[in-house]
Formats: sequence, C-alpha cells, structure tokens
Amino acid sequence: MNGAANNNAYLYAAYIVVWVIHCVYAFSLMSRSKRMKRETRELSRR
Amino acid sequence: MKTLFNVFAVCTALLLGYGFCQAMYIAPTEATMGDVQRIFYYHLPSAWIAFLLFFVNFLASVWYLIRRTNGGDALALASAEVGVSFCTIVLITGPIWARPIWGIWWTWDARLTSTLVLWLIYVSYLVLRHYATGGQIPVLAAALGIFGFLDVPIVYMAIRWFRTQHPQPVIGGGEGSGLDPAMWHAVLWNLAAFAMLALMFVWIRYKQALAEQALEEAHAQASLDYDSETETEGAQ
Repeated sequence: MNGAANNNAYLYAAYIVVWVIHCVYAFSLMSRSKRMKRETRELSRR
Repeated sequence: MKTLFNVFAVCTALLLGYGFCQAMYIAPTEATMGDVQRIFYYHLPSAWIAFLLFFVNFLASVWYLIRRTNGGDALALASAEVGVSFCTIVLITGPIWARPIWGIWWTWDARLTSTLVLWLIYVSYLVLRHYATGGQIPVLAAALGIFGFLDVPIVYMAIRWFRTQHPQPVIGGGEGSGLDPAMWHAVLWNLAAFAMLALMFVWIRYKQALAEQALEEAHAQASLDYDSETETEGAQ
C-alpha cells in the first residue's frame, strides 16, 4: 500500500511537469506577442 | 478569424479536460505497474506529436530551400519550437515513470539515447535561430532541420533494431505487445487533445514568426531611411 502511494507521487509529478511545461510555453508566447505589439507601436510612432 | 480561434481554444481545453479524466479515472489500472502506468497516456501522445512536428519542420525546411518563402521558414521555426516542448515532456515523463518501474531514472539504451540526441538536435536548431545573425541563418537552419529529422526514424525503430530497456511498441510490436481496448480510448483522446494544443501553439508561433520577419524588415527600412536623412542633412 505504501509502495503504491509512493508510486502515485511519481504519477502526480509527471502530470504536473506536463502542465507546467505547457503553461510556461503558453505564457512565453503571450509575452512575446505583447513585446512585438509594443515594438510595432514604437516603430510606427517614429 | 479571432472567433474561430477562440472556439478552437475552448474545444481544445474541453478535450484536454476529457483526456485527463480518461487517463486518470476512466482507463483501467494496469495489472503489474498499477496507477503509475497512467503516465503513459501523456508520454506516448507527446512523443508522437513531437515526431509529427519534426516531420512538419522537415517539410517546411525543404519547402523553404526550394521556394525561399517567409511562410516556409516561419512554419519550420514554429514546428521545431513546439516540437521541442513536446519532446522535453517525453524526456522528463519517461524517467519519472522509469524510476518506480525499472528502479533507475535513466539508462543509455538505444531508444533513450537517440531521443536525447533528437532533443539536442532541435534545441541546437532553436539556439541557431535565436542567437546567430546574418542572412544565411534560415538556410543553415533548414539544412539542420532536414538532416536532424533523420534521427526520428532511428528513435522510432530503436526498440525494434536493438535490445533495449524501453518496452516494445504498442503498435506492430509482435506477440505479447499491444494495449487493452479501454486503454486505447485514453491514448486516442489524449492524442487528439494534444494534437489540437500543438496545432494552436504552432499557429500562434507561425503568426509571430511572420510578424517578426516583417518587423525586422521594417527596422532595416527605418534605419536606412534614417541614414539617408542624416547624410542629406550632413551635405547641406
């Protein structure tokens, strides 16, 4: 029983890692979009 | 277009949620490994999607070398970047699954090593794209993408060609391999969900890469205009 519970910790860790990687990537895409919009605005102002 | 994208994003989120339920609660518990085997439902679809994205990178790189279109270059970059994120998931979830089952985090067998090499090839592709400067970078990156893809069939066939610690394939693995039909449901639902997520990421990154190219051209044009203005003022 204790072994199964320990193994479940690996399962949760794997699922958390997957979602953290996807969320970090989605966040990086959003921040890149914001930066590009800002750069485009600055360029058009010149 | 934005509405269509939002609908697609909502469908993807719902499918990801359903895929999670399939993997965690609906799929039967594997007899030998227990619940930890459920890592498989994220590990396998992520690997297949990484392979698919590297194939898209290969096609886009070939397309770019033939036609030299901005779209081909942008698609190659987008598919490589998203492919690396999925391949990273494969390389992290694999050892997390291996530790309780094999008793080790990692072994240098053919499947694991060739997957690590694949990841390193595409990380170097992204490093090249990000840090190198000059007009020939997309051409060099396309060449790297084409030759880098040669590792994908090696990764796929490694468990057939070599004796490895990694389990035999679930499709065409011969006698004793394969999956319970109820487990297939969880695999296919998660495959569909991650495929939609990957498509969404690639689409966003593709649009960004095109916008980056336009921005670079605009910057170059602006600095040319500035130079010619200062030259004119200097002459006066």
